[in-house]
Amino acid sequence: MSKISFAIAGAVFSLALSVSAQAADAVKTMSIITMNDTPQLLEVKEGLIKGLAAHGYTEGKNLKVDFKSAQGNFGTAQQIVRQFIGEKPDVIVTITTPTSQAAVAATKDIPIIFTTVTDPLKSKLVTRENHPGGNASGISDLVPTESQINIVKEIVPNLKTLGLVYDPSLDNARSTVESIKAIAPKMGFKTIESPAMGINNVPSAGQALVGKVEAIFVPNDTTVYGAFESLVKVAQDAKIPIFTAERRSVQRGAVATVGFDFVDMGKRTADMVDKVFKGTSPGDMDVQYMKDLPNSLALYVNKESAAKMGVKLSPALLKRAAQVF
Amino acid sequence: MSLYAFIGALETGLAFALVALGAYLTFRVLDFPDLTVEGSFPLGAAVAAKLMVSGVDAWTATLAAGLVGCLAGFATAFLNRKLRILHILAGILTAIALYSVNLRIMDRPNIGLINMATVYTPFERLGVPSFYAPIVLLTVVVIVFKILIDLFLGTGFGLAMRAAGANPRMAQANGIQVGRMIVVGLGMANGLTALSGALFAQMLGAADVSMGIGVIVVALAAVIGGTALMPSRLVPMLTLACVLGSILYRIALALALSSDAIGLTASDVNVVTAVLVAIALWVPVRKSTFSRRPGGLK
Repeated sequence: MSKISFAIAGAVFSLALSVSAQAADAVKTMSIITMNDTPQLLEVKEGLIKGLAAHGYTEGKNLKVDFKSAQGNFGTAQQIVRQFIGEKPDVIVTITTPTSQAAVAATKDIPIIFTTVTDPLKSKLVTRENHPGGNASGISDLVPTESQINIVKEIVPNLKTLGLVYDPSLDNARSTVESIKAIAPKMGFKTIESPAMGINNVPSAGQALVGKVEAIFVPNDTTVYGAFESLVKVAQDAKIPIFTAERRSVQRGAVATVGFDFVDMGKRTADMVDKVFKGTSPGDMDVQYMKDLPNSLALYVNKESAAKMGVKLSPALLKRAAQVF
Repeated sequence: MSLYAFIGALETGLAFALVALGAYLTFRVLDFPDLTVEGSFPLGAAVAAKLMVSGVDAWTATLAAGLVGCLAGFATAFLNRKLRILHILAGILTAIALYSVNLRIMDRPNIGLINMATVYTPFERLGVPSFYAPIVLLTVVVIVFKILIDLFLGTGFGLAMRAAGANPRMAQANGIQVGRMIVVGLGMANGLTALSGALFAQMLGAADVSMGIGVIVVALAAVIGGTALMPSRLVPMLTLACVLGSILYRIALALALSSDAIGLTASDVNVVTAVLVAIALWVPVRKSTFSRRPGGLK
């Protein structure tokens, strides 16, 4: 009697073992869709693959990756999403807001992890951020405006008025400016806006601030970045430090910024994908903000430019920097 | 190609068939290459989305989007007829202006429409799987507008419009007001385009200010490809060809998207599509040169 039950238990146990072994060995399938092939978005994809490799999923071995770009076309995006749904992958990773919306609108079954979405709530990808329910969750790339302003205050302690140079026709630049204006009273400084409509007006927008501000901040603004060197020249002559919202402009002459790396963002996305592979539903995973994740923000400074613009970078600050140009 | 990929091609093709019908009116009937559609497509999406999130029901919002789209066509006609701006340039000017207008309408670059009652919602309860719902509605809408255009082009006014496009000087000499034909034609075409944008946005789950990118290419590929595959002199056959052209373009794209097996990657999609469209254009030409050759195959 006991022999039989032992044998049954043994059989069940070995069966369970073989099933779990099979599940672990099975090839996982991941379909990735991006709206565009811009460098940052491709860095996210690169980080995603690297991050999954760190979790033990090697592309071509136990991970099958299907990567498609809509090349800016919304009709193509819709068709790619439909095709993915037909292939029933273990997870769909959506890069950018519109592709995420297309996927979430199209399937309620296949797990979706979205990334580089600025506002998951407003985009209607989730109805709440904690345990969103449904089949989608992911990471937001909202810029860490408050951390960026903290660095300005750290380097320019006597900051009373901050100049904002930006192109008002650019939506993301405008929204950053709005959020800086919202936190300014709380952080004890005033702001002056100096709009630059078009690349040719960037130097004059900088000159308009001379004598009125202790520092200049430039949001993620393609217009200003297009003529950034001319603004740096103005600021060096007037000894006003310039701060920006991304790394490359620090290399080109801004004093400092705090930001995240898009390869790193891909790796954080991979952490969520790994949980999906292990059986967690995206509905049980909180929506995350890249700027709030531990160790996600890095400090970039330009020592030479700081000296030319009349500010000193403390040794402690230089030590904290991920990269000194 | 999976069933889902085919359904995706069919529904997207049907949604853009309305743009193709509009392009038939401007490009073929009026001989007016109208680039306004790159702005009026997202305009329709923007108007419908804004109205829907403001509490207007989806049907009214979609209808309003179509009517607002007509205004975009009138604007291009005004630039061309009154200010004497070249037709292509007039369309481009309206389209770039609409980019700012669309941002104004939506207040931001993107409005999500996920989990909202759309025009497709009633069709999801028909007992068929819910992913067929857009196809059911879009088929009806496209057939209705195709027939309306066929009937319109058969009326006195429609014949006058065809004459205005075929030979403006002759038409003018016969008392047809060519300018008025262009205003009406562009208004209709952009109304259809905006309607298409509104229907597509509800299917996609969002309206986005960059939705217009590539719309003109898709529309022209559908009109040129469709009428090349089904050459005819009859209006009902030509409008049918435009609808089928739009669907075939999407099927070609779906094939291009599932061409990983032959060593093509994601970034090759556009060139594969271009090659497939070029083949579609070339096949009928090849056929007709054969048949015309004396002592040839027939």
